[in-house]
Amino acid sequence: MKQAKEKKNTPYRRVKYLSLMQMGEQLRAKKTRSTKKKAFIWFLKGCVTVAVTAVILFLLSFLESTFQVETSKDMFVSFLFVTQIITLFSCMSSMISILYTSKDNTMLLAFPCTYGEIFLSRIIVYTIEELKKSLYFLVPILLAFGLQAGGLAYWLLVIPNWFMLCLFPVLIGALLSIPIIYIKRFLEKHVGIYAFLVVAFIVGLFIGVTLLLQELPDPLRLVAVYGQFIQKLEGWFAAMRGWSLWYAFIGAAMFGEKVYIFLPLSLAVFAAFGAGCFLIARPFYFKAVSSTVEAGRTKKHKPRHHKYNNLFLTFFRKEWKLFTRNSQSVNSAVMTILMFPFISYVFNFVLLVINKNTLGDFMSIAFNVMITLSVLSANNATVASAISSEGNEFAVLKTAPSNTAVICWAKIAVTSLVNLVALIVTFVMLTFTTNLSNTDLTLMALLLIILTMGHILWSFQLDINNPRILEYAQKGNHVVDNVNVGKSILIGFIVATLTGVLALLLLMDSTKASGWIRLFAIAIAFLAARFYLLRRNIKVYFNDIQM
Amino acid sequence: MNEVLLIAGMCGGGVATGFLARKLRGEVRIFKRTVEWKRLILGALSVLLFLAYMPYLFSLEEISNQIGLQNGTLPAAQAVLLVVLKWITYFSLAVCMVQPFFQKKNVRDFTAFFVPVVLLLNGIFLKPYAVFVTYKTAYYDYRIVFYAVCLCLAACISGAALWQTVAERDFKEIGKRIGKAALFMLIWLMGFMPMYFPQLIFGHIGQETAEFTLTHRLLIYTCIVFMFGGYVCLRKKSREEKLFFLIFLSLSGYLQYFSYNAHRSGVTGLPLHLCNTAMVLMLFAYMFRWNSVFYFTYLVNVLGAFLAILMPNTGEHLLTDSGALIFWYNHTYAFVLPIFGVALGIFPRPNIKMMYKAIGAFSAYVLLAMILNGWLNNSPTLNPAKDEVDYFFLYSNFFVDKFAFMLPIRNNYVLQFTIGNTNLVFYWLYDLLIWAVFVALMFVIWGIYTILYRTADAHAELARRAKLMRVDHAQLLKELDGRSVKEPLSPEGAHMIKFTNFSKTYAGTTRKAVEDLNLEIHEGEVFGFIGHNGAGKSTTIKSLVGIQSITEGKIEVQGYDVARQPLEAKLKMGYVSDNHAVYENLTGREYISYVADLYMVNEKDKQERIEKYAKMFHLEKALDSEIKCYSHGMKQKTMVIGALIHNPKVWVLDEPLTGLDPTSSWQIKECMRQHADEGNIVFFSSHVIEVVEKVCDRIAIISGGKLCKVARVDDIQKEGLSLEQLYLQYAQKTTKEDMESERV
Repeated sequence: MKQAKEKKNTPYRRVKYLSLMQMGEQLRAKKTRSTKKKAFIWFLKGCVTVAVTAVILFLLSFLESTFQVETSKDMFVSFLFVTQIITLFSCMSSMISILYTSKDNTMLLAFPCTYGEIFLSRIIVYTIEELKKSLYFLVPILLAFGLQAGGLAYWLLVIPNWFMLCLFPVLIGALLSIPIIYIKRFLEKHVGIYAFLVVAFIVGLFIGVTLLLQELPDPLRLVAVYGQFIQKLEGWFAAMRGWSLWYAFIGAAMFGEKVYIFLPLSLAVFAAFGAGCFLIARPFYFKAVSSTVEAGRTKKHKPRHHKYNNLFLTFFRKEWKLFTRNSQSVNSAVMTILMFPFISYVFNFVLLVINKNTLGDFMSIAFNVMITLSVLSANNATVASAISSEGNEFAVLKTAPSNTAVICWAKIAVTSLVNLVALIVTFVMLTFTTNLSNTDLTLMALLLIILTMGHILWSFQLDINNPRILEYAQKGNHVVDNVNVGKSILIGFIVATLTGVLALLLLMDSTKASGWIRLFAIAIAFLAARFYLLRRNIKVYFNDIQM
Repeated sequence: MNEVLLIAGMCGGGVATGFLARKLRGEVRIFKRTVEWKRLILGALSVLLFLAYMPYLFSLEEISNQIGLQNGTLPAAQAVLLVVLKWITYFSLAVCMVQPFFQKKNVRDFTAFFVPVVLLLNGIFLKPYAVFVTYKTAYYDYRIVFYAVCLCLAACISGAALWQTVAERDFKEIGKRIGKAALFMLIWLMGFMPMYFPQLIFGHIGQETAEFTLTHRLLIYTCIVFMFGGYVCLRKKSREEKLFFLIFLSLSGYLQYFSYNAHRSGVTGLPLHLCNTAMVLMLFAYMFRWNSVFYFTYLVNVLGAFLAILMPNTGEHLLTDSGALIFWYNHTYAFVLPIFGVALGIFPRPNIKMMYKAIGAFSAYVLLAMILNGWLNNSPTLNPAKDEVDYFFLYSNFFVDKFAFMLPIRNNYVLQFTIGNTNLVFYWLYDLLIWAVFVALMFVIWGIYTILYRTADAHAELARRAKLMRVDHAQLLKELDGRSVKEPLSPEGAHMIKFTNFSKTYAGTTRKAVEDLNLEIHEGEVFGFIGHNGAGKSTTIKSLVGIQSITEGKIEVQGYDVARQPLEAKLKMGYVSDNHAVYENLTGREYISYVADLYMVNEKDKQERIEKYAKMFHLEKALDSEIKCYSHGMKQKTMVIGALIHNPKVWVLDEPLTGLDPTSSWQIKECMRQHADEGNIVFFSSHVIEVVEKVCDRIAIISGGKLCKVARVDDIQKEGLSLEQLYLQYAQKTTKEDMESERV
């Protein structure tokens, strides 16, 4: 009798199965979709890619036709470099949570495979995610540059380079995450040093940027400095090539410049870096990851006896405690409260020196509204996973004999509080940095409070309508592809853009007072509608959320 | 004399048709359909009326060039009277065109009672009307002749309606019906206003309609209000009513468009600009349910019309020029008509097949526009004046001005050839690019529609569920028969947990995780629920404590229905889950305190019980540390304290002893026994048979979702069996059954 052929337990197979297992949840969800639906989803993704490509193409041709800035190799390298730096930051933060603090680490570490294999499988899974995400940004950039200025070499090399460009920031992120996790742990133990460093960083940044901004001519006449600006821009593109060596190799090879030298060079650097990353990270990975799954030091809190007042306060107290004891959420709140006014400060400083008329004032209000709302709504996106992130603990709510839907309002209150503080700090700072009147600033702040509240309520509703409790129960707070969060950011962006455009249109039309009144009417209607809908959705769907 | 002739002709036609329609019996088969003779004749008359009206539409009424009432050929009062008469006649003719196809009472009443009066007035005022149209009393001008033919045909249709009403003595509530018919006219009249009406009455007033001025915004609001208002009024009407509305509205758009545009001279006036095309296509799409054409307008025209409404390029004030007015009419129709078609359910929501059909229709349209542009712009015979023919903006600089990078594409990729004396020119790549962009936009629009459908469906589902909740609550109150909702629905079950025909099916599956479970657990009992992994233990428990929904049957706790009186039922229960559902960043005390607050335990009891149980489980020292620092057993014990903090009548535990050390395990078992001895119910699941055997009074074995055995532990022992042996018997039986069913 022929014996069934036994599959060999090779490292390749182990890495393959580890990767498949981590992707299992998504794969299972996708398996239930029909082929038509899958095809349709891919088609829609394709449409988005084409649309973004068209926008970038339009931008490039606009730069070329209006500003005479040609689509060159230097511009391509600069584009790549800047976008890769942004991706790197995102990768670093994700890699820390995925590699070291993910809930399934305990399970993976127990499997009969080496830690290097686990590390590799993590990198593979994340790279696949990056490749998918690149459809919306990197691929359109590559396509647009190719259509605008690409030759034969460009199109021949575009696919391998796309892969390398997706993998490269993941590798750097994985490598940098090791020292960062150690530093993070050190700072968690030494809160004083952490606080000092944060304040020092913010102050340093503030001073540095202020000094830089002082260099701007006052008044800044954009038309007058146009030539100078273009020159500087081209100079900056050229300088960027010098700073970003590997990207310069890729750029040179793709634009057909000494392909026989630059192509092997770029490949060699990539291979060396990949191997180096694996070899360096491998010994440290287990050490770093095992120490995070080990029980930490005991954290005691003084018992405080709260008299039971009402359900909302019970939930609010619990939410506040969880929020303040979670370093990630505290960091994010601190960054919002400190960085957000800073961004506003820089933006308004530039606006202040630009030579502008009354229309400019309205534009200043509109842009402030747009930017502030965009940042705030991005921060609100966490609300879109507020209920899901309860995970297993949601069982407590499901079994409690009270109207536990009240927890929704407590969660909303905590997020709103952080946003409110960030907004107040920002507007206090703006009183010193803009020439907008205090009335305008106050009205703007009130408008933003109303709109950001509306967005919070909307984001929360997304989670109520499509909760992902099981996924959060399995992975903790490390679910990277929560569709509700993505939707919330998109909605925030649309609301911010629409409000900016409306603010400009309504303030320009007739008197400023009537413009403000109409803006407030729209904002209040938006908030009222969102409040009504959320309340209704909570009433109907909250108790139906299954675990 | 001519007036008398016309009136006689109309009366004769009306009487003859009325008589004929009344007397003709029987049916005829046309295009595989059986049609009554009467309907066939009336239908043919309405088609004839439509066709006879076309040449009139293609003519020009001289009055349409007049600005203001002063210095016109006709005296001011006469001009006003005639333009109003023209307006009402225009509407009446449209009603006669559709009336034979619909069984709508108010339309028939209008045709029977109002149309004859309008026609009579036209006969009386024929002479000034001839001046109105021709600027001279030219009765035999082709425009007047066609107009007279139309009036006679309308009289035939109206006569038939009047004859039917009289013959059937259908005069019940006649006053109300005439009122309704008048209201019908008033509602629809706006759609048939002659485009030159404002300029004739008011002259040149107002300013250019720049973007987002008050006038512009009001027009946008009107458009939106019209769309939503129409939808709200019609959504609950019958399909025939909806269809009438849509056909009549599209007919109005069609007639409006041609009444203004048809007489524009030359080859530039063909209805081949996007929204103009829609005016023609929509009517035929609704009349013949023409899918490909409808979805072409639904996916392309709506976007075009929307952009035109937002950024009008009329350059004139609405009341200054009839061109501006037709622009708004045209684009409003092109915007709302297709949306109405799907919103009111006349056409289904588009799927990919329909999308392909729409792309096919759009491609044919672009190809036609491309050929006509290339041909007509260069044909000295057809376009001697060399007017610019620019259908779908494919030939002019319209797109190039906005997207400069397209200029070289247009100029460098030209296809030219000569036929006769015409040199045909095609910007093939440029046209292809515009086609591709529009096809992509069709998909984007499709995506937007999909989002809107989902939103609409979500709102409808929300409303449905809210209504269902109200109905359920009302039903509960009815069943409680005047008792408070806080009282148990079944007082007879006040001392037990009762499962009645309970089944659970998970969403997305058809297999029942638990099937038809019937069980009663009484006070003072420790009840063990045993079964293999996946047998249905946790599912049953989760449904009992309210974590999961109940698919079929009923679960009652102390007489409270878990599904319908969830809060009251949950207040009686304490639950320890199979995973550690504890907030890791809270301390043990904070977690227990939080649970106590949820169960509304007063402060004194809460503190007493925390102290009591902390001591019992040796947790005093750890109670103020964050739970994330706890061991597995400590977490489990914290959960146990949380579940007991409100001293529940029913204590439910799902695999409580898994992973616990012997001491912790013993402590929890003791606690369970003690709780039951105090007259409470302890219901717990486990697959550790020894524990169940030692602790429980009664057990139930569940396998494959079905309850196999319920027995007292003492009785099992009396039969000389151990629980393990009994369990294995059932387990083996189930495995065999499973294997057999798999084989089948």
